[in-house]
Amino acid sequence: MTQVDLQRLTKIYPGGENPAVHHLSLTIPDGRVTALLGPSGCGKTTALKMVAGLIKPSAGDILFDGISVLGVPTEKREAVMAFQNHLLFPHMSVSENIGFGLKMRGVDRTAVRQRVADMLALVRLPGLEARRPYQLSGGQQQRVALARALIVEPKVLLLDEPLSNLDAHLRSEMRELILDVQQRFNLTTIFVTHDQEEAVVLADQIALLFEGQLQQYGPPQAFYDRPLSERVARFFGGVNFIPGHKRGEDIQTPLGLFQCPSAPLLDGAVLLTIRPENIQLDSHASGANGAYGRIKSSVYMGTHARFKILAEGNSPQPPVAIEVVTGAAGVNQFAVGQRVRLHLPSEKIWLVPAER
Amino acid sequence: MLFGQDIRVAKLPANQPKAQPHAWGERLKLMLMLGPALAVILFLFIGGLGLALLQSLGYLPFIGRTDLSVEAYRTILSREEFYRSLLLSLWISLASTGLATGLAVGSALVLRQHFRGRRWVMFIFQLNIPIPHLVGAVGILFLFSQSGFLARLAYLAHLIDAPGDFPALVFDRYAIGIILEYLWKSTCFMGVIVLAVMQSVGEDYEQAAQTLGANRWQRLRYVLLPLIMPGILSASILVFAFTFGAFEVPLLLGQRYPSALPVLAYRYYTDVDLNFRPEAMAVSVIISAFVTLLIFVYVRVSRGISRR
Amino acid sequence: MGGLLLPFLPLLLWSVSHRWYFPAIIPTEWSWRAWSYVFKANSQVLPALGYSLVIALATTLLSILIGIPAGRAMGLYRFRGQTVVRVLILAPVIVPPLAVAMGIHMVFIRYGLANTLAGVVLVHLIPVTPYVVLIMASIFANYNPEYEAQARSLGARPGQVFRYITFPAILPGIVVGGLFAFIISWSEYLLTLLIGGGQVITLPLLLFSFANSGDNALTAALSLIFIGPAIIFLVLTSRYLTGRHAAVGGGGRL
Repeated sequence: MTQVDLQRLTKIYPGGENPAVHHLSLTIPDGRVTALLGPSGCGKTTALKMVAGLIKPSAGDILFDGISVLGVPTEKREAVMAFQNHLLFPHMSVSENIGFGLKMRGVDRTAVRQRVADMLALVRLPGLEARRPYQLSGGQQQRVALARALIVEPKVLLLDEPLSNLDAHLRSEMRELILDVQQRFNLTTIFVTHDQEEAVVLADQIALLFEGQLQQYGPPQAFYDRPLSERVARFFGGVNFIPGHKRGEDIQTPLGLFQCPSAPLLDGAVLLTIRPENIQLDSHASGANGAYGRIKSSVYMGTHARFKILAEGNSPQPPVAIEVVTGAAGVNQFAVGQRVRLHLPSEKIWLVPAER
Repeated sequence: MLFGQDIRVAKLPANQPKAQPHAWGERLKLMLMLGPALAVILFLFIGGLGLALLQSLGYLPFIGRTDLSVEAYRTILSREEFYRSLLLSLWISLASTGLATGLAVGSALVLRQHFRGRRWVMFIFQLNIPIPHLVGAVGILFLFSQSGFLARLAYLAHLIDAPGDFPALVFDRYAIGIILEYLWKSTCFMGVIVLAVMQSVGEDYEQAAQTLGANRWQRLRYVLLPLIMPGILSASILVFAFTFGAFEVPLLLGQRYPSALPVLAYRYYTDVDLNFRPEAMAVSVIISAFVTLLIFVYVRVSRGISRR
Repeated sequence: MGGLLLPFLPLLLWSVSHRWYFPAIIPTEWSWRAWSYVFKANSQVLPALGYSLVIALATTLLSILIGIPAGRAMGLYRFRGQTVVRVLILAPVIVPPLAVAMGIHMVFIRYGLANTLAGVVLVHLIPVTPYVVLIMASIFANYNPEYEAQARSLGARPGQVFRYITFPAILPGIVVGGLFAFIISWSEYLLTLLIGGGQVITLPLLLFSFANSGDNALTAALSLIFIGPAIIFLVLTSRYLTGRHAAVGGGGRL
């Protein structure tokens, strides 16, 4: 139940050319799950460790509920971090691991024992008190690490790549467990990940970082539907980018004129983008917001089919490569070499600034 | 054996299956590969130990004695000189190992941090490891004898008026000079090992503990020290074993009586009276047996701990 | 920390002193006497230097020849009895050499090996072999023998396989193992004293008698010569111990 504010948070490592984190400002709402997402080396882990107090910021401030915590040492900050490789202390039993935080606070043994048992029940591992970390499976280790973090009732829970080391089956189980305890304790949770899927399934809010700089901050859908730049769109699987010129709601492109009523950009050079699953393929129809193309290749993916199409307009310019995803049946409907009509619904079209 | 399991420096690539020789040809090939090394160990080392044991039991064919008895051990164990030497050797080993362990852990804690000049300190630590003990002993002699460098500094500071006023730190009752020499070498040796162990453990566990509320002291006490303890113990055992059996440093820096156990054994050995031979052998066998026993207990205990 | 370098300072000063009585902090008269004696043709130093070099080089060469196949067996194979072999090979590192040397002396006398170079080299193999085998084993543990099979399938003869595949791969181990062997043999005092029987006078033996005779200038000069290889060792190994071949450091730290 703590709101975390990052204010122009900056970290420059000695000898580093560029700041690892540059002027990062975020308001992380209390009781929600927020992801710091980005490729490796983007500064997300540095940012997380600054919140934990493990790394001292070069500039900027960190506020918990409006109060700066920069002067509060890590061990008093009540921002508990659970690491990617869980880091259970190998020389301690499961119960000693979970009870560690309480022992450090001088809580008496009987109380610790009771709380440890409660936590083990919460993470659905009752009765494993005496085990050693190496006797646990990967999923069990992750749960113990979570219990160890939760037992001290932190203000903020920090998770480093919480699902990365798990196989697909365990991922969904862990995801449910994390969301379950997060909601039960109404915990402000921040986690870092390089995996956009992990961010989307777990987070209420995503902050996307490239090279230490915030690119976009908002709910997961926004990154698919309303990306702020070509890079953001590409990071979330965007593949179709058609250069164009915007005037009002009209976008003039090599493929012809498209209508886009919702785009917030100023008039001028833009990139028109649309997700491959939002383009409709047809063998004959015509109409507005459309273009013709020839199918270059197709891949059957089981649940859907993916096409690469060379689209051309009326102008003598070279054709534009467009990817389209249809239902699985599409693979029988459209053949390589076939001429098709692409329909780009105007409400699905999005514009990003043209990059120089 | 000691470090292989604790430090894990040479990691095995996961993709590389180990050959499991079954066929006779393969076993023969292995024997041939190991043959020369095993010959050195079995004939020279084990053979030497065996012959020392035999001679300690009175088997001296070159002076016509071939019947075995424990007479030499009985003589040794009834002599005050032996117990004084044993006590002295134990004192030297325990003091140097204990102090070196403390200093090494302290230095490693400092050296794992980043500070200016860290590379130079590391260089000095590594430099001292291959320096022969004999040179270290000469250095100690020049520094700590009653007319040595420190005595001169003390005179300069008006702390003493004559060499004789400076406390005896070499050839002395408490073997201070010997301990200082071992301390100097062992601190560097153990410091480098403990630092390597610390670096292989990394800082992540301590960071995890810190976010859970552990302060600096608690992180050291409950997290770092338990994690590096196997490495520290292995290194201390090596230092103890070495200092207990080493010869030239106490020979150069030690009092004549009582002398460290290995020096005592050597004195018996080089005595013109060949009847001292079995006793020399008995003392050196006792040294070897003591060290072997120590290692054995250590391996047992550490296995017990890691199995728990 | 500074104390760690302290023992070297008086060595440097003493080696160039002529008169340095209590309580002078630095020598009152300087001279190159010790150094010119050390390099004089008819001094005891040059023969001792020669003995030390020949013994250390021979020990190094032999231990490498022993260590390569044994290290390969230990690092590349898993076989029954390996733990026993490992303990045996490590034993001389831990068990003090005194009993071994005294015990074997009798046999060496019997077979004419006592008081000879060959005998001293042989007995130096005892403390040296474990280190070389361990270092080679750690190198081979990170070595993939399939490269050899690949080379064979491309037409290389066994000799060529060793020359072009195995040797370059294990070279760092040979260098580091060889340096360890050299330094250990070079520093060995007790074994040379017992088996050399006063006939084979190496540098450490000479240094000891100088130190006992009280000629501080000579003792200091000889000490400085004696630590020469250690310095060279450090410079050479730091490249191999800290670079991308850092794995070989494992055996070295033992």
